[in-house]
Amino acid sequence: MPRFIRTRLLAMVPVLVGMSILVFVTMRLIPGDAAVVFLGTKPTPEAIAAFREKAGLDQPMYVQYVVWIGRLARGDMGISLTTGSDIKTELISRLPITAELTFLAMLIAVMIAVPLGIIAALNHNKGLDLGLTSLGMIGLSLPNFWLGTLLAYFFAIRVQWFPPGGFIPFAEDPVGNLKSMTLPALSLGLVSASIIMRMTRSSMLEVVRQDYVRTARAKGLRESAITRGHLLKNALIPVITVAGMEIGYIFGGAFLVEAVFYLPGVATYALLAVNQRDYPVLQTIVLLVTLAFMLVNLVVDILYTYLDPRLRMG
Amino acid sequence: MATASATLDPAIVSSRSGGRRMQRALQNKMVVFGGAIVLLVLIAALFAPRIAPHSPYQQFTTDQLVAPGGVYPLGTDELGRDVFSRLLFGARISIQVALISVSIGVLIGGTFGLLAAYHGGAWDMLIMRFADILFAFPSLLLAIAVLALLGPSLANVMVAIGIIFIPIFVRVTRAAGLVIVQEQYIEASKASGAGPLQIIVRHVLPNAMAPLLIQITLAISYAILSEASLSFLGLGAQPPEPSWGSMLSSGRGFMTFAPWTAFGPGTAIFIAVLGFNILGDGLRDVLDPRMKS
Repeated sequence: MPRFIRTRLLAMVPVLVGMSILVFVTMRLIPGDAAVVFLGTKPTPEAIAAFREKAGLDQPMYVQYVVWIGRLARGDMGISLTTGSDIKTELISRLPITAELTFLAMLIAVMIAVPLGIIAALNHNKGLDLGLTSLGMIGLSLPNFWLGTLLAYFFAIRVQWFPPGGFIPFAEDPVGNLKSMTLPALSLGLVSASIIMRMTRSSMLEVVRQDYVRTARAKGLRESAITRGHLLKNALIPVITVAGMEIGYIFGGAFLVEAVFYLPGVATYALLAVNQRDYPVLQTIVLLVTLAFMLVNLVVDILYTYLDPRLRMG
Repeated sequence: MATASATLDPAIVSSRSGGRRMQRALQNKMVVFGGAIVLLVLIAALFAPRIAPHSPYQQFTTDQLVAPGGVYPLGTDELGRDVFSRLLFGARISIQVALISVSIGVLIGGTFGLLAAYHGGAWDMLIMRFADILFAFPSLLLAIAVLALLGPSLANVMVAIGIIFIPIFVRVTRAAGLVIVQEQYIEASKASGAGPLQIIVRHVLPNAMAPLLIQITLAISYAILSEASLSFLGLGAQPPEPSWGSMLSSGRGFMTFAPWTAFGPGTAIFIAVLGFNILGDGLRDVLDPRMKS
């Protein structure tokens, strides 16, 4: 493993510890008592005391924290305060849905955005460029939950090509699974595609002006060779940054799109936990999401060094 | 008009650069088109009580889910409320949330950004580290986390979105400030005894106006989108408040036979966001020549 990856992985540890403390403390600042939520309206004081003891809420905060982290390190995420179900089991069943949604959305975004961005830049200021840029502006301004609603209306209600919602596991029915994920993934992916396309286009236009491109042209290289050998590799570096950031936005968007298409994913779980003040669930999800983003950022940085050898020195 | 100003004495032109920028802005198609949409949204928000044919809350119990046309230009919702009137009052909510949240971002972020640029060193390090951490978190998740803490309400949505904007405005004002702080006239004004506050207000702030204006326009578009998103999830406006996001959320349930309940608010969000985005892009072309492609 190259040294910089090892260093970066080690640097994650203090951030995760800091984040876990921050999350743990803020979750306890949430107004409203979990006991009241769990036990319903007007519980007896005895019932509240018993619940607090069972959930460990009567212990000092630092004891609760150490107990939580200790269990988490052993893979025990605890139980949900509202449903009493095991958080880990719940997450394992929900994670594949959100992961598939994010992956498909990202795939759609990149596969549409990069080629279109390149086409727009190569036709700079011509009709095609103008059309694509305008389309990008429209896509950028479309809220993903409104696009999702439109797609559901036209392709699930008016023409019943796709189901209007719900999730079918891939193992049960691969075709049904892809059908149930098409509209959600499109709602998220098309919006991100607009952002990545704009970045690809402006990044290409930036690189076209560089001296080495003029040199390549002066020494008689064919346009296609210049595009492939010089333009793309250099133009894609900022595109990867933006695409990496888009993963974060897509996950944020999953909250909305999972709600639009009634997908029982992680975001739906988190939203339920927010509404019910279920902090064992919330703190676990926030920590896992933080970890996921740090790993994504690391992968983006690794891709950088592959594309830009200058960075390999550091 | 452009040729007329080009023949002017350069000294006069630069002293009137505000007016010239305004002129150039009005020649930019994106500024005009985006500006026109923005104006429309602002008029709807400002004059909602005068334009609206009905109260946004009145329930015409005999006229539930009536199709668009006649007394109800855009139809009625499941409780018999006029969708058009609710959309107009929804513009008020959107603009109000946007203005307040952007103000929070500009005031807090701007102050820290200018402080970082002016003092440099440890101040700069500390402020920028904090901004980086805040910026690294996906913004909608940050807003949801803040709302989990504060509880769902429109007022808390303004705070949550405002917090998203803080690191953005820290960066914008710091970048603008850094360039200006190195200028010789700042040195001169320091030498003549001007204090930091005087220098920031007199010299740094006016020069940071262009990037700030661009960022504010784009932030308003983002605030409108975020308010709609959070209200759609039930974390923002609470019934019966006519927020576009919550209207879309409840309208979706009747989409099969009354699609207008969802189409009205959805289109409203899209148009408002589009207007501010186009205006912001146009302003960037006009005010920031480096970004022009």
